[in-house]
Amino acid sequence: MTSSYDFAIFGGTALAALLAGLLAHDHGRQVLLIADPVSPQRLPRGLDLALPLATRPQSWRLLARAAAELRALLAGLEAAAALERVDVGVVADLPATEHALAHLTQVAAGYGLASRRGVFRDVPRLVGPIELGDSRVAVLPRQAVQLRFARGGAAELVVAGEAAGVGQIVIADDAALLEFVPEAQRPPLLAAIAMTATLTKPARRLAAPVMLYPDRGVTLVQRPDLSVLGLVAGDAEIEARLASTLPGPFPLRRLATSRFRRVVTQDGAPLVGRIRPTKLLLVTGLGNAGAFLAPAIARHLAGVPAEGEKSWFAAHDPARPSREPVADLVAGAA
Amino acid sequence: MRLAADAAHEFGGIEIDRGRPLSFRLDGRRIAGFAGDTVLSAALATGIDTFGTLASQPLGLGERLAPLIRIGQSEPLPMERTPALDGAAFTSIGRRRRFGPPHSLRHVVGALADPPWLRAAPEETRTVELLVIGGGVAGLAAADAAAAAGRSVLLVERRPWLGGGARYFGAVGDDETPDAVVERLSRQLADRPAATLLTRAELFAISGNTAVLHQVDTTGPAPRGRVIAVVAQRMVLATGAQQRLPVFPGNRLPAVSRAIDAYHLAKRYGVVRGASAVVATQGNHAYRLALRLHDAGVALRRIVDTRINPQSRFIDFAKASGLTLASGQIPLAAGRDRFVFAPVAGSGASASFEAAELVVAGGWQPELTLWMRAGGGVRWDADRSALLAQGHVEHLALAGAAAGYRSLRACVASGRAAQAALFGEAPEPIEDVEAGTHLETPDAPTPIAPAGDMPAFLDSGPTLALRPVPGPAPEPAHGTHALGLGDVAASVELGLIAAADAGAIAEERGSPGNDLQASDWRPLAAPIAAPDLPPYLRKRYGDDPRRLHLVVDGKRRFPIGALVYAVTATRRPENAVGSIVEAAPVGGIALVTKAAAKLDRFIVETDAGSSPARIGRD
Repeated sequence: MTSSYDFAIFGGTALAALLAGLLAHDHGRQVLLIADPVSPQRLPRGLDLALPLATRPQSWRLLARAAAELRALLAGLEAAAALERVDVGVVADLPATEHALAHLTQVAAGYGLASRRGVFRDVPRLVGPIELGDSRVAVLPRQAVQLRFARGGAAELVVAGEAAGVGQIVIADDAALLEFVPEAQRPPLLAAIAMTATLTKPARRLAAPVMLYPDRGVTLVQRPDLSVLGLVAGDAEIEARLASTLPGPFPLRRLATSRFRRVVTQDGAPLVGRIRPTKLLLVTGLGNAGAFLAPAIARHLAGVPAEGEKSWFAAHDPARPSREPVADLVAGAA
Repeated sequence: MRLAADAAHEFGGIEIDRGRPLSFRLDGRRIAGFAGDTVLSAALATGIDTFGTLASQPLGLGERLAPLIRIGQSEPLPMERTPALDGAAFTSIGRRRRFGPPHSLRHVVGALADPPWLRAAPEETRTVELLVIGGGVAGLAAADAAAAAGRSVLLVERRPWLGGGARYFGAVGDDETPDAVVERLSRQLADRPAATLLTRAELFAISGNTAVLHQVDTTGPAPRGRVIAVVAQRMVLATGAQQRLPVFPGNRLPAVSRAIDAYHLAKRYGVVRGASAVVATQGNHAYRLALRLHDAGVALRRIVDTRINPQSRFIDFAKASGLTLASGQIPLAAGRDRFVFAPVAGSGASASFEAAELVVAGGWQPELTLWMRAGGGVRWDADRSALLAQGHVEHLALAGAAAGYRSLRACVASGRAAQAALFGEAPEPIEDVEAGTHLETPDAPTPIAPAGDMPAFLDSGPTLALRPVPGPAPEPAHGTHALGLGDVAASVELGLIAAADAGAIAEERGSPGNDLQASDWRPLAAPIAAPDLPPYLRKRYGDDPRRLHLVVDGKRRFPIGALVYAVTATRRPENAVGSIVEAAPVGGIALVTKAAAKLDRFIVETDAGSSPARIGRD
């Protein structure tokens, strides 16, 4: 195995795997993906859905283009089954959210995503592991590498006790960010919030297989057997908020529960860019849509952004000069 | 069937009084038993050995899978903790088939009733300084030490009797025997006024300083269940360890028993599942059980060991007793009364043996379910092939086999040490060495056979998690089955779960939290900021956006959120010059760019289609 890489990507998510694969496959880079295998029995910590609760047309344009590329890529790899289409209901409780959602609905319609009475139809969703299978991607488990910091603060990757030559270290999932980036060095817009994932016994049918309740901080995914995976943001009144979104029957047995932390941005907009002094490149705050943005992010990392992408990434760079909030997404979504 | 009353090694049953026969009905069938029986032990003694069917395969009835029962319309009770009652008419609860073999309770698996006491309000609350959960040797030692120090202690034991699994292993060298240790500690504890003992009491919830248990109260004319809350300053979890079930097709058939279950059934109630048995093991202690069954009158057809040419004092005793042994073979498949074994190395002919019962032994998994419910963590230990506890829970300590100790001496010492540490006293050192075992072949991992046609379960518990069948249909991701610790351990060994994930999965599945109750929670509506500039539109239409009242005719209203375009623009959202931000009696109030405010014609894009618009003359 080579000890010199253009990119070392920390992350066990679909986004991280796609980034690694695309950088190698489309851009010819040597990539080290640092990820532990995730057993299918573990509760998911999110879902990959091409429905960002975003209102900025620029974000939707970026997503629409990247999602189409991803669809074509998976079809070419005979991995189209990894992409399914699902109806997604969005429920707003507060007037302000209702307004934002009304606008989002119009913007989404402008990019071909139809909705009716709060249910978005045929939203692309990634399911299953994504591996592009490129020989230029090496994979190591998390325990096999360390990250150390030079006197100036720059991060350095250590593999088997020796420094590995890495052009850019990318932190592409929340667990890695929370582990490696000290709080003082995180962009001020970033915050870590508590998350709870719960799997219930089969419940009554939801209005749509995926339901988003941004004001209650709850996301529901109903499986074919009618069991429900609930993702709840925040650590207050978790059970009450989750149960308020479920149709019963009550009492409803929980089969599994896990707790973890997620990184969010205070303005709801993604952050993609390098931070000082570690020179780590963060890809965070992308919400459910992150994996679908992978082709665009890979182009950005490879230095070949498509038209319109450069300005989007500049606006979402943690080091952007204005440091003004982008205010892109509806806040509070789990 | 019952062994003889005077069977060797007390395998006539030390809980039952053969001088006091009784009879009751279960689902209309007459069951004969003795005072001291549970409903379950009497049913098994009568030959009812089948819970029901799963995928057309019979599923064995036993301590870890038995239906709830009731007398008339009384509250449900656990079959394995409820005493047999002369003249009673019990019915089992759950969906049942109308027809089926007489030895089956004919339950439909998948429609198991949840114990209602999980949601019942406690009828009393007890307050103690120390709650000890588990009446094995570690729990007894912890309770005895605390009570000796004058602390109020409540010891809770699920079974009707004390001692846990220690007796299964027997004595080592010159050490005090498990029987003697249990007898001594039980007697001491009974004499301590600060100690209270509850048997037939299963603890099911634990949070902070409060625990909740369900007990079958046998003090009245008929057994009744009661839920008790216990508020304790400190708690010792001495919940023991579960023997793993080897994974092979047919491993939950009625004729298959775990060695520990077979031991307790014979020792306590004098019950075996048939007159002949095959014992399949990967360790030494099952030979001890085999010898005892043989001495008690069971025809031992074979003792089959996974290990190749194992050495143990128990093996020497078995040989000396004339028992037929085989080594290097694992159970391949079970049938109603025929059991097939295959060479471990994968070459050579398989062998099959006929017997009424297959007794199987696997490794040991510390019982840490309550530990996880209390907030403790677990991790996979490859050397032990088991999930072991990790982390710390305030005011709570593990002891005995649950803490990972193996020898009798260490389990007893760990009970005392746990209670000492909880109360800030110096704990005694614990040495976990089994004297005389260094010359013996160590136990092998729990056997796993190749997949076959029949279902193979991952463990013996009520989760009924099946080994995935090879083929195009993959195991559903994060399946809806709960997973017990034994299921997770088997999944790791089968490669279904990454070892690094095993602890997290066990915690997710092992402590999912209480049932969800109906909720009408809604967010509090915060004061709405001035509607001029919703946060999501900040800088969207430039630094100095303008508000315009757009109309099309005297009736039509524009929905909030609709995009506003210049007439000449391509209608893509990024080209919008504004959007409707406020309702109006006709048309709508739009926020537009400063430049767009100078236009006099617009297009408003709505769900209903495009609409021309102009600035209204207010």
